Amino acid sequence: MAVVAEEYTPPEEEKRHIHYLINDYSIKSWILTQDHKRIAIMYLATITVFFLLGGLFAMLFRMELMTPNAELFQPDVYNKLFTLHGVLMIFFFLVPSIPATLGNFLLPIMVGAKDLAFPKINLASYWIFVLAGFLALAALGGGGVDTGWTFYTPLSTDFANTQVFFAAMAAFVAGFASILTGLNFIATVHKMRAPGLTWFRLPLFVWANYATGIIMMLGTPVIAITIFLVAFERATGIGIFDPAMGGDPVLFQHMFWFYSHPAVYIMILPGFGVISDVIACFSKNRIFGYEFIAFSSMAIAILGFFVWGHHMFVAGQSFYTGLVFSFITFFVAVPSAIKIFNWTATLYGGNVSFETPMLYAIGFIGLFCVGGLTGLFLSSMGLDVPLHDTYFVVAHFHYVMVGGMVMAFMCGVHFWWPKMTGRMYPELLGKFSAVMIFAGFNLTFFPQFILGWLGMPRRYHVYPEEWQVLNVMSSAGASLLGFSFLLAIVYLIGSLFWGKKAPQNPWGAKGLEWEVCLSPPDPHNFHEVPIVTEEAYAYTGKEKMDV
Amino acid sequence: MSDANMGPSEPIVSHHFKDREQQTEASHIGMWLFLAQEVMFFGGLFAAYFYYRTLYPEVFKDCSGFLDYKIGGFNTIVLLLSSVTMATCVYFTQTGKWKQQMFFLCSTIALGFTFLFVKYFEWKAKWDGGMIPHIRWDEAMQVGHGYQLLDPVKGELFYSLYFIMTGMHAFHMIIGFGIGAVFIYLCAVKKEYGPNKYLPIEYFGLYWHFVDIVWVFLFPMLYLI
Amino acid sequence: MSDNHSDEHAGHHIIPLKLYIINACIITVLMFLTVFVAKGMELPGGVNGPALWIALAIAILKTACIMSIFMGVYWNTPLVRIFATGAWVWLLIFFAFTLSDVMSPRAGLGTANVEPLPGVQDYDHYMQGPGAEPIVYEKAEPKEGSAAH
Repeated sequence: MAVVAEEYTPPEEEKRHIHYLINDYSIKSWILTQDHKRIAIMYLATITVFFLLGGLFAMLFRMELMTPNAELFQPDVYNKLFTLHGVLMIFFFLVPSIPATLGNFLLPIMVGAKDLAFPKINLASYWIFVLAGFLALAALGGGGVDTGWTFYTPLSTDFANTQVFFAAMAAFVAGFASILTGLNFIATVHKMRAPGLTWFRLPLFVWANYATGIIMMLGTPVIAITIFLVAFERATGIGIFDPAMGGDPVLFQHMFWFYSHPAVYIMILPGFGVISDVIACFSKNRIFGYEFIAFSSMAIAILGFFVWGHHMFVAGQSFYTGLVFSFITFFVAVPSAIKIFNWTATLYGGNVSFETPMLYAIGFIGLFCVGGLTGLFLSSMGLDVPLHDTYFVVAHFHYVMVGGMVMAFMCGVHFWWPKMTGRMYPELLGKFSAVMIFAGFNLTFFPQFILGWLGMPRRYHVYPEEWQVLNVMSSAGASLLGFSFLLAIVYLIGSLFWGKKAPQNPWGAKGLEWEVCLSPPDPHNFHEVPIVTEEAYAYTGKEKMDV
Repeated sequence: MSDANMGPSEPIVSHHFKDREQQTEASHIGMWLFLAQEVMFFGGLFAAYFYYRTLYPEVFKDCSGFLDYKIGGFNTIVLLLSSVTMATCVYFTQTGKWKQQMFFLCSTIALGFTFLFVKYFEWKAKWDGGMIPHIRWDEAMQVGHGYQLLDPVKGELFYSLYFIMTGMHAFHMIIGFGIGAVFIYLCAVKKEYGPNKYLPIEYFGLYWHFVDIVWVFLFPMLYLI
Repeated sequence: MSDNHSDEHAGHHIIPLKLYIINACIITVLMFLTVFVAKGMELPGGVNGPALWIALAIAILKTACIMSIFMGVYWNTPLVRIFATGAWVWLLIFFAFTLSDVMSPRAGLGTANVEPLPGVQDYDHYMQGPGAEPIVYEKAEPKEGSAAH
């Protein structure tokens, strides 16, 4: 009997869904992509590299700090280590972290658009960032920088004989990349929302990134001109900030901190947005006080511009100006506190579950509280006199930056990983890593509060012997922290190959990216324009997870 | 009547926008956001200027006396005229008159060149007089050219700010020339812009007007007061 | 074709040329006024007196003219106008706080009633810049009850 071969049609579930990662395999389609999702993935890869590099420097100087004397590094090499740690972590990891990766990926989807308002500018932003990265690597290769990430004059302009010029240019160019990102976000949120998506139906992640965009636009140009002046002064020898030539270093600090204080809000606000979304999802509850959180994001963005002088209380700034800055700094804590209360209230009465993103989110709330409250210590002028430039300051900003922002970044990456990659990460490893990060972080930085209170100055490579125990605790914690981050990176990359395929909505979450878009999304996000009819976070408590 | 084949025959709307209005509004916002950050960029320089001015008012007044305000005033008029020609070029692009568009675009760039040309002579006078901070700062030369500074050390600060501020302004104009040259090519050879596509020309105009605004503040602050 | 009518609905207003000419004349007049106020008149208070404020006010007026007519902000939507004017407001904030520092007495925090340590707060030495003689420090005796004891 002759066998007639029938045409083989694959079963429905095996038909490949052509998503944004596989719709075009050529190198050119990645390098010249205008797809915000691909740009986000490229940003993610790049900032991870800088995170690891900055973390490496931290490991090196924490090793040095295990002993009271100078054992491992010459003092000027030590200076280079902490400077590069700061420069890379702040300009090349924290500032772009959530906006350029999660923001780029999710903002258009969350507002129901097919792309950001200016896709080519988005692409330009990425390549400008890469250029900045090369300049930073050039500074590194040329011997590094030792002025501290704050580039205080006249050390950076006159006395340092390290690669200040390249490092300054790297920060300048990276700032420009962030300006273009912020520009895109603001225009997109204003003009490209889907029908029915009013401002108060937007996810709070969008509000947070919008506020961040505003800060980026208004603050970054000032540091651009400041850094330009430093580089120019170094190159030509003129004395804008040099007292010997009539200049004033305090002016540099005014100009520098006018950006760098709002910069810390650039770094934390998107984290707030992530936490809002994650807390709502994993308590299956509406966000308590949605409008308050939305407006508090805007309040932080605006008030954050009025407080920069609290970095300069002992710099020679006028006492009266310091008073004003101190007063307003106490105010700027209020919107953040409002958020913390609202998130905690969101948990109440909800159907709470503790997946990895939720662990990070809960950790964020606790650690950010500690960091924020210790900021109040520093903002009162009297207390700042003994605490300025001690490890208290270092611990404070690491609590908010790492305990806050990096935890929020990990939270967001884990939460949206199924959406971005179509794979689930291993949940047990995720939970383990989250707990280890929390433990390691506290072990690293809590002793530093005590050290700062006792008077240990920052940026010193030697210290009196009686402080060695605390320093060893801190270094041990740093090792644990570093290991846990590496573990997370390893299993996240591993999940790309061996992870379980993710369903469209593994967390049972609300939002356009979960309810309408597939995992991973199509190249143009939506087949037809979504029409939004329900409020944000319209959880009923009965949503089922699909993990 | 508009000229034939000047720009696309129909408005082009990018795929991610839903209609022309959304595209235009979004682009307007984008361009003004860019200009807003340029305001903050130059503003930083002005902040430094006002800061030192408050510290050393007599020195600043003395130093600005050696800047010829008549040349500065002439340059102001030149730049203002170039703003008029730029706005007129936008008008003729919107109404579809190609010859006038080209004429006014080229005159804008030409007037800009005039501005820089005059500035070159101003700066050359300072170079000859030994008043370039640190690179060629020679008090003997200054006295020889009639520039007797009240306080040479702080005067050098004033001139540092002067050259950086006017230099940054001139640099922005040179960038403008670059973009303008591209536009001249696109308008002359490819007739890229017309009544259905004029936003790039309009935004170039916004950039040019912004450069004019910076000069509107630079001129009194550096030359007059 | 004169698409003005439909264009206006889409927000594309074509500004008449006459307005440009008038605007330019106004700005020129204002410029001459500035020159006169600064150089032609002898105002009391010298440099930081009324002359400065008048010059600044005129410059702001000229900017408003350029922005509203040449840049078309007068005919833009409220949203664009907010962005156009917002940056200037922000600049004012920067100026206000920075100038408040330089204009108020610079009482150094934590330095009142404290004997300056040799060399550390030696302003004169600082002002000499690079190339000055290096300072020789003497190790101070730790005080009773301090941590170093």
